[in-house]
Amino acid sequence: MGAIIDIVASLTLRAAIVLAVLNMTIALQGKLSEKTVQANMFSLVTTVSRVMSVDLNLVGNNIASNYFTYASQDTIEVCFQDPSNLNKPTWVKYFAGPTSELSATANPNDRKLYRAAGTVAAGTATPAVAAIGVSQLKFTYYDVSGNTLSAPVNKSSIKSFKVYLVMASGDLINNVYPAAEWTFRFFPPNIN
Amino acid sequence: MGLGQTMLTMAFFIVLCIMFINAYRVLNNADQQLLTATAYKTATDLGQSLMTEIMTKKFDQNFNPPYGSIGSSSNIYTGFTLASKLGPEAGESFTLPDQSPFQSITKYNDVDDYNHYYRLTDSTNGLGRFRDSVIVYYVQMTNPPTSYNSQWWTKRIEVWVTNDVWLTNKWVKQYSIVGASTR
Repeated sequence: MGAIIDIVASLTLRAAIVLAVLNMTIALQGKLSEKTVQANMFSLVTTVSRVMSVDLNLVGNNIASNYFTYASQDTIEVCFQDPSNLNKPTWVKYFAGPTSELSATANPNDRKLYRAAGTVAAGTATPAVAAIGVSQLKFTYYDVSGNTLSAPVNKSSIKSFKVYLVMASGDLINNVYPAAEWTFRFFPPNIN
Repeated sequence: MGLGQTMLTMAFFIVLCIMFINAYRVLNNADQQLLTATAYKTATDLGQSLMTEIMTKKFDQNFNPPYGSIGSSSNIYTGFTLASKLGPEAGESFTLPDQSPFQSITKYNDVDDYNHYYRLTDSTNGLGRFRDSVIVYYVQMTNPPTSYNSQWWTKRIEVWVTNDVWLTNKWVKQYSIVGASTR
């Protein structure tokens, strides 16, 4: 009887050890996946921020008025004379699409980021997808005194504005959607 | 169980414990490194943002452009703010550290007002508060990192950003040199 108890106890202990090691391996793998995806998000948000910074820093370049043609919490449209396009007056618009466009992903809040651009003379243009996986995009506008402008924003009063962008994975990893964010307050030199 | 078996079992458990401790360290290090990287990125963005705010100000409140060309025979630069007086003038001071909404935007009217200015910025990504500090001094283009003790056509702006938790004793430093002819 004693021998049987020894064998059962020994097997139980081995099983517990194997289980612990397996759990540890799974936890490590999960954490590694989470951090890898988060690092990818970090890289993605950095790339998007660079593209947006180039456009948004040019606001008002070599034009006399109407620097902002649209300004809301979730959409911004700016005008400037584009030095890389024969100095033609150009508009650029950023906005996030609806969540329904990415309904195939596990993340219920991720959306596509759109960038539309064209010359003022040509008018409208078809928006192009600039990035996938935007979970938050918010624009805040400030007047000359640094006060927040409330909606509807008086576009001619804008002297600086802040972009808050969060990009998140479409997949649930370790019970979280790995995400990275970018916050930047612009003081475009051409309107100050 | 003989002594040999007991020793083997103990050795096995010790190896197992070491393995668990190392695994925990790996997990913890991964978190720390990613948060530190995020802190560096956030500090860089905050510094750049503050720098762009400063760059919208005049070069010197005592003069309006055009100042003439840098290095010209004109000695107009002698009218710029004294090197020893770089900082906010009367009526421009407020309690530091500055906090949102930042008073520097309305109170300061030239680049050198930001000398010894600092502000606290709350991050939205759970990294706590960042401290953004600025120093401004005259430099000569022939020796830009070295402070010049008199007025000159060019000022160097240094923005230093740190975070008490994630950038302990570390700073993200950015600088720009502004010339009198720009604004």
